[in-house]
Amino acid sequence: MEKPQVITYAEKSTSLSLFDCRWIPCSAKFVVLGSKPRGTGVINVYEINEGDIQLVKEVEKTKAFKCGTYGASSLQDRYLATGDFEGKLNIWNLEDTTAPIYSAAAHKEIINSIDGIGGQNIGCGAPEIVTGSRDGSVKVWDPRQKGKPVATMEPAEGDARRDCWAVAFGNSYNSEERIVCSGYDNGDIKMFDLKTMSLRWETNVKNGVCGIEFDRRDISMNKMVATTLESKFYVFDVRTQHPKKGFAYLTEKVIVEFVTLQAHKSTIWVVRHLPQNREIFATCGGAGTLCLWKYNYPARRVMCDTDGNEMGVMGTTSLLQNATLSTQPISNLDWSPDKQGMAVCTSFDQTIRIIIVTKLNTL
Amino acid sequence: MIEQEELMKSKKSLLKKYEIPIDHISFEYVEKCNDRKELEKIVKILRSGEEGHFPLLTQCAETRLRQVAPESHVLRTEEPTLTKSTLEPDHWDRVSNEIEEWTGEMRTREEELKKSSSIYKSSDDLPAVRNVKMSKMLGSHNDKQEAGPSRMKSAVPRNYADWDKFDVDKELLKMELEDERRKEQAMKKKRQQEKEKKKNKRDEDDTFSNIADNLSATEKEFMAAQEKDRGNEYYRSGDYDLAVKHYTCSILLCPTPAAYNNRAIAYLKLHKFGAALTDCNQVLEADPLNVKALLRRGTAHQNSNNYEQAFEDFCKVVGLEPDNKLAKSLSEQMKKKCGSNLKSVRMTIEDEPTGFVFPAPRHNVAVNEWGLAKTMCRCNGIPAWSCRTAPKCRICKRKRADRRTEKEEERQKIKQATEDTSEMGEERGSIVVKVTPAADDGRDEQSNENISSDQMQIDEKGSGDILATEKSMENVVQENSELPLHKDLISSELDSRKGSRELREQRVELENMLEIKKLKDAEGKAFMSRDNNVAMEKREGGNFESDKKEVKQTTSEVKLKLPLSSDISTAMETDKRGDTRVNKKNIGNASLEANKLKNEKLSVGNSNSSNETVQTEGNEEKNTPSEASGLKDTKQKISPGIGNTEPQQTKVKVANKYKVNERTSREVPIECSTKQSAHEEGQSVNIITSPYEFMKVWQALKGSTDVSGHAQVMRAVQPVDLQTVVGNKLDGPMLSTILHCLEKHFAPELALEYLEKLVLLPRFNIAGSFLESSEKQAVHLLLKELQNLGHHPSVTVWEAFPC
Repeated sequence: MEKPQVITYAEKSTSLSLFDCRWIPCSAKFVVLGSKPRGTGVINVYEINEGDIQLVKEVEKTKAFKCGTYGASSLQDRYLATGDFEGKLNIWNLEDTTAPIYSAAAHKEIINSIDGIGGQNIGCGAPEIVTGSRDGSVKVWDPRQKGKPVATMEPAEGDARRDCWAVAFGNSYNSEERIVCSGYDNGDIKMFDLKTMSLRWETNVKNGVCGIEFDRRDISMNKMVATTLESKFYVFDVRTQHPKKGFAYLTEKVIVEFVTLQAHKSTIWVVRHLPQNREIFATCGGAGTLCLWKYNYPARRVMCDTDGNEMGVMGTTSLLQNATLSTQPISNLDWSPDKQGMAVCTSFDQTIRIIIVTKLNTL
Repeated sequence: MIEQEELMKSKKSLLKKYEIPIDHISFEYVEKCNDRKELEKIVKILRSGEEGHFPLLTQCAETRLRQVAPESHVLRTEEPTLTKSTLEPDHWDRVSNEIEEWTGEMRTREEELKKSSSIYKSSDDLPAVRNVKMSKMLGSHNDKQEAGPSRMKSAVPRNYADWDKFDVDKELLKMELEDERRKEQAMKKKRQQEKEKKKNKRDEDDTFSNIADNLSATEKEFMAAQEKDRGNEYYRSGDYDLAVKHYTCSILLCPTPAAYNNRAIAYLKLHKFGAALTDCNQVLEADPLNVKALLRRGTAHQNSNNYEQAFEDFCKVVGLEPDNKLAKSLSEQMKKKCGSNLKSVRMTIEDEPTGFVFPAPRHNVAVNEWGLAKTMCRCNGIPAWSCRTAPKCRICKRKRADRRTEKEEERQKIKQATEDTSEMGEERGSIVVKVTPAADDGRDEQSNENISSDQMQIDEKGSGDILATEKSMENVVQENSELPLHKDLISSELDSRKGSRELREQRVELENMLEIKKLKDAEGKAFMSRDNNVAMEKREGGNFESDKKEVKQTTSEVKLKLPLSSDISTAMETDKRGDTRVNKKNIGNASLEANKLKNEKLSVGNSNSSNETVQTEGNEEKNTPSEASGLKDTKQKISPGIGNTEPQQTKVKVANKYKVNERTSREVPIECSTKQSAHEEGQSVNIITSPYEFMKVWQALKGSTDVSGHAQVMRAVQPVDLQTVVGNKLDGPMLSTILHCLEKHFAPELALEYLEKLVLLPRFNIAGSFLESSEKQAVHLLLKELQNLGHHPSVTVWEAFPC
């Protein structure tokens, strides 16, 4: 097996604080969400052109944008859903950005995370958007229903509200099944079943959960990765749920060893699965490193305990590549759905990078 | 100062923290160290520089660790990403060109998408907006948790008074019960889970609707690619069913050769060779030189035993890619397998009713779609049996049929066979099962029954492998010598046995032939060749003589009943051999068949076998009419178990079968000397379908006083064919002979079938007027008997044979 190479294809420094980046499906363009130094929000559309990143369009709004997704819109529409610092959920048509085509005052505080589903797949249910906010609530939105969420998951009155840092859709393999998973600053991970509207499973991973992603949203749930502060991430086998033990998982620590030993531990900000191969995922964070992992299934994924309950068996992860992209943490990364191995990432050094990972198809 | 010292104390050095002796940090120790953890610690200590800087030692420790544990996380190193300046120029150019190409592609695609979006409107048939009245609160997870089984009261007594009350037996019983209950629950749960899984599967199936209709081409392409990727993912993780599902979705959206190709390999993995074949053909239609598709189609052919076609495909691949090692080795394999065929006559395979029909999948054995047990498959999905024997692959399908006839043959000389097998048992020792006792017992009905039940057992067990048969066979006989564990071992044994058995068969055939010779000159040549064969065999085998003697001994003995049990066991014996039967015979016979079987659509190999089948069957049936049919069934039941198939015949219940057998065998006195049977066999004919054949044979029998020969001919004519075969050739003497045959040599039921058809013949009334009243009377009695047995002859038959 040849090691994949990580190549920085293009770089562009900006004057923005960059929070999120997303490829526009079916194009060589991507959007970057962030804020200007004076606090206004920016949606920038860039295009790759002859080895360079060119700004195609700039949209400035009053509030800074934190996150965005194309997941809930079809390829024909390609509307961008964004969450901002004020707790507003907006859906934009980037052709005409004078006003959002959908807007809702979703949360009282900043929307930390957003995920969408149902736009680009057949037979996996309605288009929906989930938002997670500092106010502790997780809300599910349907763009066809104005003004109010279709489902809300929040702590009961009087309970402590934890900051929700990450949300993700999953298990949406038919029109009914759907699961939302959310991660909180205290290390809680909660899994909500939207079909039965119940809490399906929860666990605590001790450190704040910065990123959560299912390997695929539109298949019956298979694997989920949660990244945390303190350089650890967890891979859960979510195919088999044991009634008592829940899901099997393994944890992997990304140790960043500097010669000076100063930044021994760092946050893993984001995890993203390769759209062309769900067994490969990238974790980014800490000291500007990008780790490329491959999950290897065990010989048997399920075993029975003495009570006849099935429980999952974890495989192993192997590190394919560990590359340093920048001296500052990588805040976000997005794989291109159209080109295998191509990704855009934003980092705290205000730079946008296009990276290419080669030899992925030989894995 | 003091503070610093304290800090130093509180912060132990790594060396102390890991508790590694200082002398371990040396070249001598590190080079020999196999402890991964210790090595990791040593590396960490050395890297920290707390004990001083030793670059060489550090390097040495790292290399050692790499040897011991290449995956160790300590060895993970960061690399800066490659950029234009660090990458080789041509590599960079390649990458950037690729991307530029891609960006251009994307632009055109975007244009298309924009154009199409004005035409297509996003689909309306999306699921309705989720309607949840009250969203659940988060904090309520406590009540989610089940209360759990109420805490059992501690069984252990706390004080002496309690100990007095403590009943050990009761507690033990309680524990046992508890255990049982747990087990039961576990079972229940398992079943429930399975049920749920099934349900989920069904749910999944109904997903893909026709939403695809209102999508633009670009979207379809995008989604097709996505689905294909999903399929690849499932394929990689081994969920081939799901992979096929996603590939199918991809094909539905936008058929691409790649998707077909991928689905083909997934089908191959699922042993659905037929489906794989069609997919490969799809690919090759679009791209005739697709190496992967060729390879896959070759594999599919190979697994469906079409070795020649497989060979062709593999050869094509080798032609395209001379360095393809896999294709080379496969094509060589195929060459070996069909080597003999390529040289000799090229046989066409047509699926005729008597041919190779795939058995229905059995529940207790995992079988592929060809009815071969999956467990037989070794690497590359090549069934074990096909690996075993080298050449003659193409014939092996036929061989099954051959074997069947052999069984039949066997049956007519059971005694002989019995003796043979037992003899062989003695000779070969290890696996051979002695049939003799069973054969002897076979004379009493009870053991017949026994065997029949055992037979059923085999039937149920029926798996493609020889082992199972072997095993059940041993059950039947209850006298087993050691059972070799290895299938190949058995087969080799069996192969070795094959020789002598073959010899015997051929010997009998020779006898038959000699008889026939007198009758039919035209066939003389064929027999000569066969003669030669046997002679050759004689030279080789050597124990031919003893065989012959044996038969002579037995001829006088075989009289009334045929010991059915031994029959079965010998039949199984034959099956077990799993042999590849003599080609020579086929070829030798070719000329004979050319004459005889003009209008039979049988391939050479099979025509031979079916020929034999009829001959032998005829014989058998003559001896004990209904038994024959019963046995046919038995046979039929065994053979699917062997991975073989038989022409579809109606199954008779086993119990009935044997009853009938007993009765008829007692009723019908026949001599079953080998000689006579051989004689009869000689006269017998293949299934007659043309009037010409029928008349020819019938005329040849003119003058013989015994109607057995005629009965033989009648057997060769199917009741349904009577109309065409006999037609208006029917005359008085013929009718009377036929009636004699039916009365004497046929089972009542079978006779009735013939009668029903007979009365419908155009010249029946005229011919009937020549009948003597005693003959009519006899038939009438037969009909009455039939009625008593619960059959209902039709009115026409009653009218034809009035009281």
